[in-house]
Amino acid sequence: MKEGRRKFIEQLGMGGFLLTAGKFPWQAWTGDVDVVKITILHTNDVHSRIDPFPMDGSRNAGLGGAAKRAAMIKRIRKANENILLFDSGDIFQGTPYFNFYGGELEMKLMTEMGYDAATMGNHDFDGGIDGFVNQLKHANFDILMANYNFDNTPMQGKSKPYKVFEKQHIRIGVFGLGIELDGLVPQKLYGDTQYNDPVKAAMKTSAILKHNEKCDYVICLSHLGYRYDESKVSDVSLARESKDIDLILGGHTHTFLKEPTIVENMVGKPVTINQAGWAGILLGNIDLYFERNKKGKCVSCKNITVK
Amino acid sequence: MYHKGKLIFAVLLATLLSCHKTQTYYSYHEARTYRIDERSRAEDTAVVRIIQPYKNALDGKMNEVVGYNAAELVKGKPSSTMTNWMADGVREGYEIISGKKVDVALQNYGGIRINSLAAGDITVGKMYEVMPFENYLVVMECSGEVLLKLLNRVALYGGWPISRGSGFVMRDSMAAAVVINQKPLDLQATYTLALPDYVANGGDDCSFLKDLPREDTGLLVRDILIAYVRNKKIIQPDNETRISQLK
Repeated sequence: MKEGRRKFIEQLGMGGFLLTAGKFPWQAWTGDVDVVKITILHTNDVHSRIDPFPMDGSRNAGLGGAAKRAAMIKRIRKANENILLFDSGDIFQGTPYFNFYGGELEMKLMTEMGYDAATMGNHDFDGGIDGFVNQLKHANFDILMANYNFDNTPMQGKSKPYKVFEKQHIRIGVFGLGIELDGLVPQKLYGDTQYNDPVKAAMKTSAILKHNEKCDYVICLSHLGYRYDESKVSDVSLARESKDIDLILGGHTHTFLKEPTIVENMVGKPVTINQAGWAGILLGNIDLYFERNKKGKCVSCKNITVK
Repeated sequence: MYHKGKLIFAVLLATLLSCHKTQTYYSYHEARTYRIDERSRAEDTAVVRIIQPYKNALDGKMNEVVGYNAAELVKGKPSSTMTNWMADGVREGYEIISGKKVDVALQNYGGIRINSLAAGDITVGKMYEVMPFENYLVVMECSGEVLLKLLNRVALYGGWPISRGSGFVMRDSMAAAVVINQKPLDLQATYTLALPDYVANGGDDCSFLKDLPREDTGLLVRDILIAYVRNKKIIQPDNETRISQLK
């Protein structure tokens, strides 16, 4: 029995209740219900941290490292069937690996680890747009960006606003959002990239995913930042103003969260926000459980309130 | 009978299609965070193999000797051998690379990340320790008045690296007796000023610099310092007091 399942049963106060994998406990009396678990893994702001922090007595000494993260991801892949692995930007900049190799190694390693998609952070422009485009040949995953217009830049046609991933008939829609570049990145580096209002772009893209693409769950990869004191748009403010986003995997503010934040959206539904610190010190993991049946209603949903 | 059976079959089929369609519901999530620390000993061999050639080549590059340091440089306020070296390096390095002149180079004190530079070989890796940030050099034009405002900030912070030929006396956390490029500060004159983009963009409470005419050189401060050390070959400590505290 897999770790996630065991914990799930314990939370329901049903430890020791015998059940077969892929069934909810109450299926004993409700019958024909399938449950699909989808494991979301995520990182953000890895900032070219290929090696663990050096053992020099500093705060992060010994933490992180791509080879260890890869081993951990492999272990999770072995124990779980449906895995999606995402990054929320600032892949580049922070160690000489970037200065000397321009992000080539970062992209190769993410490809080796099997990343499914990433969005762009402000530092991913540090080698210029050309610099980023040059490294895409090493990236066997999609760059998702719904609020940058890359027409007239070398990035034109190299990113998508969103992508739909299907796992055992469950459709997961994923889109990306970037932060305002003006004042944060020299214009010469981002060139003619046009920044569009992320809230408007998110409303539009998430509605397409939920309604046109018939996604069961919508994930936003965001490099907006977790929360700000001023009125600047953030993951928390976006979540409040949204309607069709279920999960925001954030970045930029290097936020370490003990547990994901749950925010109520415009129509009173919960939006989950998570961020995994920075530098590859953490690997975030959110397991999603979906129920499939022919009953015309959800058996498990009403039994569980999302914290 | 034949027709009736067919009808029943059709009704059954219709019922099956309308009522017994499989639907998907999002039910629940469960979150956890994995911490990658010294206890997670396992390393993925495929990833290690990919990293290895880059790491070896990088170590080679970082160990490259760019010059020699004759005596230990120590960082301190308001003036020190290390801050003098840094500001002179930025100014002269920029002049070597660009062929252009500036009146004065200033660096924020916090931009230097080690407290001393040992005597002996100076490697590329050492320069990364001095200046790990990707700060770019900005050259600005400003009036003597704005420059004085900036130097008052510097006085408030207790002194920043400032290039040879310039300096002042700190009196009540203000800059007095200011000399720029070996001449007394002229409030009406125009000066060219070399700064890290962090400061030029308004960092360290210097927002009054943000809208000044500027040239983004596109040169990393670290690369400028490396060019300077390569050109000099031997760094001699300069313990000139450029900024002093009025007693």
